[in-house]
Amino acid sequence: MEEYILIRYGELSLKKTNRRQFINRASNNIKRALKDYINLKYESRGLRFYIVLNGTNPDEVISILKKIPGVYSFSVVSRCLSNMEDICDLALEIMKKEQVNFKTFKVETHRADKNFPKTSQEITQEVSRHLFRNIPGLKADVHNPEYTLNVEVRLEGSFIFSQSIRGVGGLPTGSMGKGVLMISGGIDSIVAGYMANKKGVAIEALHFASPPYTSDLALQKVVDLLEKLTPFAEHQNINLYVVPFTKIQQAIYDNCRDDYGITIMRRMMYRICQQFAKTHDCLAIINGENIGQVASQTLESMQTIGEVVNIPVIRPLATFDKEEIVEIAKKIDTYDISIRPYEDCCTVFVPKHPQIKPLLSKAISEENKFDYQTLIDEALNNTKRIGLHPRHHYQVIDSHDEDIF
Amino acid sequence: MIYFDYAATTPPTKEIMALHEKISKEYWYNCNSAHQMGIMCDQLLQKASNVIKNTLHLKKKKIVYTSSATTANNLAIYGICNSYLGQNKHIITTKIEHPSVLNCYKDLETKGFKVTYLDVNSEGFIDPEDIINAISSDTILISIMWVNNIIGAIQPINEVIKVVKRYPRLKLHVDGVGGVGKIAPDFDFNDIDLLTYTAHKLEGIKGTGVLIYQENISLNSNVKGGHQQEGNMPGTVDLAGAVCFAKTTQEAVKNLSENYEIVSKYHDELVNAFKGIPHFIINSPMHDYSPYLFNLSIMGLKGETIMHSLEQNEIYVSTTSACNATSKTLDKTLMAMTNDETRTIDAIRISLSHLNTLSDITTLIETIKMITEKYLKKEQQ
Repeated sequence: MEEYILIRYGELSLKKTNRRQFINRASNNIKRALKDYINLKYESRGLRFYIVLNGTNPDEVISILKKIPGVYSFSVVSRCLSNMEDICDLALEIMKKEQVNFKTFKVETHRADKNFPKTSQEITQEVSRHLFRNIPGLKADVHNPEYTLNVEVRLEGSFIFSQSIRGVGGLPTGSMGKGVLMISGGIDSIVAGYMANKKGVAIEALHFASPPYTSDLALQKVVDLLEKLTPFAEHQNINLYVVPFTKIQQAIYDNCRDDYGITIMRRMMYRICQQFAKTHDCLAIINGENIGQVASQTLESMQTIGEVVNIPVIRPLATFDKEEIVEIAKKIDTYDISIRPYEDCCTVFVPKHPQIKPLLSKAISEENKFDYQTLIDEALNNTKRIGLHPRHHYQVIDSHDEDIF
Repeated sequence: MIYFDYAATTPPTKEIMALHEKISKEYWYNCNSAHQMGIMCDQLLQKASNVIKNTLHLKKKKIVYTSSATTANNLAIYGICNSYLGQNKHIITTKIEHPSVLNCYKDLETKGFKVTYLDVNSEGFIDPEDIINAISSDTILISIMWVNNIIGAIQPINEVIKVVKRYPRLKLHVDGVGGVGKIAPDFDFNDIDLLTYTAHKLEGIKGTGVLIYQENISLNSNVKGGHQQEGNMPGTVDLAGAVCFAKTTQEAVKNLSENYEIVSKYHDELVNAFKGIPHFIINSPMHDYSPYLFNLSIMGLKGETIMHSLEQNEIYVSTTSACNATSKTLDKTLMAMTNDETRTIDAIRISLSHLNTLSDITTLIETIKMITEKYLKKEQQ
């Protein structure tokens, strides 16, 4: 009976000039995410986008749609012949399935076919009566119903729309441009990446590795985290760039005052990110920094560290509490991966008493003791790219085991 | 040589032997070593687990590789009950379980647990109503086997699941040895908290078993050691065994329908040959049965005698009771079902496989009939 799913794009309708482009991008992202469901067909009618189910189980499609950026809401639409008996039966069938979730309801009818023998009012009344008779405990509320059943009577058939299901909102992936995501293996940075992606910023992921202080397992952790985002990334592809950071970290440790170690390290990272951004069409840096969480994330630190860049630094989690971040991490299935206990470069070389209010002048004078630019250029030249895609799980250590099963 | 003791064990396939050799030679490192070689092996172990999960359509489950179904059953039962020692808790099982389940329950009884041993009816099935009557607020675990290994009775697992669902704190353990890879389940494996089975009954290798459990369960293992397999089964993981286990599972499920059809025909032949014939009593049920098992009592002849006599004709079956001048071991399943010592002692278990041929079956039937005539006559003299 379920015919199709109607997709509603929210914020897009505000952007009049680029609306068509946005809708096309969003629709293509949806098609890509639903690639495995071969029976689905797609239709665009004006600003509405329909997924024709063709027998596919709507529940699976819905669980994917709920995660696609740019989708504001959607409804499952069922269809029947345009006569009162069929309309009432279908309405009852739908209500029975959904009725566990609410007590009060309302029926709204739109009669597009003016030749239909009853008025919208009459149709609403008759459907409502049929529902009352067959579902005990149901109450009507025309002003503030918990559930609204929409009926559309047209020449080619009658359509009943289930309750609007909220999507994840945001903007179609990639519609806003690209950003460089500073990704560690922690809880926060991947959540920051998820939120940027949701708001239309396609991400190029940059990870600082310091072998032998950091291990392959730490890198695998980062891969596993990003693979959680690939199904909803632009073209379902995320590039992970691994920057060899050991030499720089050692140079900082050897040449800088101990308490400025973290500050200088972050300044180097930001520089690398900006240089990278300029050669990879990225318009901003994105990271999981949170005000006050660790020494490098006080406002003073952010100021001293941020001074090295002139592109925007987006910190989606800046004002979130840890619990709120953890909640999102669990929702996007990254939490369990993040808590795997492998060192990343941020936990190695940690000073005993990091400077939480670093002075810019002091940071600059510490930096001038050594030529870091050469090491920065070297690190960028030796950066390795790993392409991640939902089709294939990337193993940092190749087991050469593809043929075993 | 005609083999009809597949319920005891099966021959491993050539492919599995080759796979075991390959893994043993190329992936011999310790899965828990922190270096690349160890990680490479651990990744393969994860892949094996994913194969099992995908084959059985499992969600939110964890897998522990053990040395056998017996150790898997032990881990399941003690894994739950060890956390409740001294708390007067109640556990439920059946009278027809495999010793690796029954003896755990008997042991826990001596340690203070209240135990209910469910009866079976004369066909060998438990009654889910009995479970409802037995459950109390103290009940923490219930173990019910899927397919009985003596007579082949398929227990009403989907009914048990419905009952257990009403009690979220109650854990359901199913010994799946006779069913996984052989019988298409009429229930969802995901509804079982603890599921066990072994590879060597499915043309896999001996020395491996598996416990599949709900991921939010914390097991309190009797085995103490390192942190391999999250501490549930310490000891260096047998990677070759685990990979072969996953492959065996994959193959068995792939061939399930085809094998089932073949074996069903053989089972039908046996039923037709012995049903309603004097001196023969078929102990296997005629509904909800696994066609892989056929248990037959030849009244007046000890099962052991039949078995040895068949052996003389190079046909191998099994008995599950033993009786001699000094001692008597009566099969628990048959006694629970019939309460008839003679019928129990006179029983043989014929277990079938797709590896048998129709001519095997014909020969078996003829030989049994020939033996019966020969030896029964003698006894009646």
